Amino acid sequence: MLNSDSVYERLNRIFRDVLDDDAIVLRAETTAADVEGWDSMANVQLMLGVEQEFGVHLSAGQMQALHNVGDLVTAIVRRAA
Amino acid sequence: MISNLFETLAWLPRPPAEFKQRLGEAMAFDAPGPALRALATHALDAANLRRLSAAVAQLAARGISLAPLAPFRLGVLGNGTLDLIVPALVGSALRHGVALECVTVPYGLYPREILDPQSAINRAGCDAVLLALDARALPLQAADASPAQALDMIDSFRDNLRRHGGTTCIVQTLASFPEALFGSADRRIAGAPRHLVDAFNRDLVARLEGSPDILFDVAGLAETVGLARWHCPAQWNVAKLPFADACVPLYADHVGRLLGAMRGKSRRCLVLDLDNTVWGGVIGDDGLEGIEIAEGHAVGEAFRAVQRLALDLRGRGIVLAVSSKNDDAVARRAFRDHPEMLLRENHLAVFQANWNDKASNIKAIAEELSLGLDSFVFLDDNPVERGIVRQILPEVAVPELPDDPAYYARTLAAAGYFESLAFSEEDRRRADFYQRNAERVALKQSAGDLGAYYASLGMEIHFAPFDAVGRARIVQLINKSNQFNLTTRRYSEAEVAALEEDREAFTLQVRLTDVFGDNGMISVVICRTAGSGTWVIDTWLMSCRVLGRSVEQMVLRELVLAARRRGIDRLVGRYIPSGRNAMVADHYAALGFSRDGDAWVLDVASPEPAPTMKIVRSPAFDGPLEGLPLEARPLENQATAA
Repeated sequence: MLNSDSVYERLNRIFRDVLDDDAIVLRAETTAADVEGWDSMANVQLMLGVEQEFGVHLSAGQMQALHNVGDLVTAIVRRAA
Repeated sequence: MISNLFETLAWLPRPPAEFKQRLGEAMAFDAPGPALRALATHALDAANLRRLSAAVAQLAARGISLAPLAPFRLGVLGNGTLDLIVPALVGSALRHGVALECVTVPYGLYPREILDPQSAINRAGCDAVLLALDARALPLQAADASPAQALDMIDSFRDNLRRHGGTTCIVQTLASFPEALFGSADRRIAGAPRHLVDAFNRDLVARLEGSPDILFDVAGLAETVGLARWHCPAQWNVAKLPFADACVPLYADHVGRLLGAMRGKSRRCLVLDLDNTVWGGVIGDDGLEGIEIAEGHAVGEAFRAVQRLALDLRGRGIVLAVSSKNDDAVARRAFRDHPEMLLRENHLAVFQANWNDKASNIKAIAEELSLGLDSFVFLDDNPVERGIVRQILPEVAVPELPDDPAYYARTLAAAGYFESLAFSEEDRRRADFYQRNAERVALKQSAGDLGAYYASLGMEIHFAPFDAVGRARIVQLINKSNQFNLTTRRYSEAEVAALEEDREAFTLQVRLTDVFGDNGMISVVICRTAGSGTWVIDTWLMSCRVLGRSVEQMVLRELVLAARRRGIDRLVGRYIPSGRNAMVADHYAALGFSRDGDAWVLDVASPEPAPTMKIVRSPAFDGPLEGLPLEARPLENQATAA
C-alpha cells in the first residue's frame, strides 16, 4: 500500500521534471490553473510520467474525473493497492 | 534489460546523475557542439531530450555555432501530436552529429501546408521534410480501399514539397496494427488491414526507386519493438500520440541516424577487442584450444555471431580493425590457425595487439587509415576499456554491452552506427580499398591522461593472505595464467593449502573493485624466506584485465611494507621466460629492482610507491605475526585513500 506522503513526493519530482521548475510543491487542492505551464500538452506528459513512475494506468474516463492533485493521488493509491 | 534493449537504447550509457548541471556548464562554452554531442550520447528519456532541445534553441537564439555538428533544418509534418516527438528529434540528432532545427505546423494542418506554395513549410528552406504519417492518415480504412490511392496521395505530397519547397522528403513505411480482422488470413485477403499495409509498404519502396526522397522504415522499427508495444490506443485517444511515448526516444534516434547519414556522419570503421568479445576466453591464458568459438556450442555461437556481423558489415564496406591487449603473435595465431574462426587476418585493415592503452591504439589506427575518429566504433566487453575510450576519444562510438555475450551482436546492430541511405558497388569495395592486410601501426604518443581516468574509477584494492575461501580461485589462477606471470610455477591445491600455514612464506591474494563492480581476484603473489632478511618472490601473477591500472605498483607497495614489518631487508625476483610471458620481461626493471645476475633485487628501505587507489588490508595478516617482537608488528592497519 502506497502512503500518500510518498506519492506527493514522487509527484513533485515528476511535475518538476516535466515543467522544468524545481519550485513546484503540490498540495491536494492544486489544480492546473495554479501551476504555470500546466497546459494540455504538459498534462499528457504528466500523465505519462505518472503511469511510468507508479506502474498504474488511468483510463481517459478516470483522467476526466480528476479535479485536482488530491483526486490524482487518491486514484494512484487506489490503483496501485 | 534484454527484453527492451531497443526502447531503452541499451547500447548507450546511462546519463550521469548531474546531467542538468553538465548541460548548464556546456552552454557556457565558446564552442559547445562537442560537449552537447557527448551529453546526447546517453540513453536519454523524454525529459533530458527536451532539456537538450531547449539548450539548442537557446544557443541558436544567441547565435552560437554548434560546429562541428552539421546544421540541418527539418520540416516535421504528421497526422498525430508531434509535440513530444520534436524535442526528442533535436536532442537525438546531436548524438548523430547534427544540429537540428525543426519547422512544424499546427496540428491537423499538414495537407494545406504541403499544397500551398506560400505556406510556412514551403518557404522555410527545409533541408528535408519528415512525413510522419501513419495508416490513420491515409485512405486505407474502407473495405474497398486500395493502396494505390494512398500511394498517390504520398506521391502528391512529395511532388508538392519538392516543387514548392525545393526539399527532399523522408517517407515512412506504415506499421500494421495488432488488431487482426480474419486472423492469419489478414495477410492474404485483399482489403484486410494487414494486406493493405503490406501492399502499401511494398509499393512505396518501388515508387521511391530513382527518387532523391528517403525511406524511413517505421514498419521495421515497430515490428522490432513489437506492434503491441508500438501502438497504444489509450495514448492515441487521449493525446493523438501516433505511437507509444515509450518508443519516442528510439524513433527519434532512428531519425537522427538518417539525418546523420544525409550529412555523411555515419561510421565507417569497426574496431574489435578480441578476448571475450570476438571469442570466449583469454587466448593468452586459455591457449588456442581453450578459446570458445565453436559452432554448435552455446558460448561459442554467441561470439561467432559477433564475427559474422563484423564480416557482413565488411561486406557492405565497413572497415574492420583490431585493438586488443594481447601478445601480437599469440592473438594472430587464432586468426591463422583456429579452424572455427570466421574472421581472418585478410579481413582486417589494422591489427593492434599490444599492451598499450586502447585510446592510443585507436588513435594510431585512425591516423593510419586517414579516417576521422568520428568514423569509428569500438566494441569491447570490458567496461573500463570502454570508459577510457569514451573519456579520451569522445568522438569514437562505444556501445555498452549486456552481460550475456549472446546479445553482443544484436546490441551492436541495434545501435545503427552504420546507417546508410543506399548501397553501391563502390561501397562494396570500400573495405578492400582501406585494406592494409592486418598491418600493425606504430604508436606516436599516448592519446591522453589515463591517470585522471583511473582516478575517476574509485578503485579499491584488497589484500589478504592465502586462505581457504580464496583457495580454489588461487589454484585456478596459478595453473592458468600465462601472460602476466613472472615464473609460471604451477601448484596443486594441496600445495596452496600448505602455504596458508607456512610461516616461512608470505602470500597475497589481491582483489580489485571499482565503480563498475568487483573484478574478483586479480593477482597472486608468493614470497618465500631465503636466508636471513630475504624474500624470494616465487610467484607473481596478475590478470591482464586490470593491466595499466597500477595494480602491480600497489602490490609492490604492499610487499615492501610487509617486508619491513617482518624485518626483511630485500626482495629478490626472477623473470623466467615461458614463451608466453614476454609482456613481463621488464616487470622488475620497471618497478625499480636492480639486476643481479639472473635475478632482480630491491632494497626495501627504498621508498615504496605512493598509493593511487584506496587500499584495504585484511586483519588476517596480523595472525602469523604473534610470535614476533612488538616493534616488528604493524602499528595499525593502515587504509590509505588515493
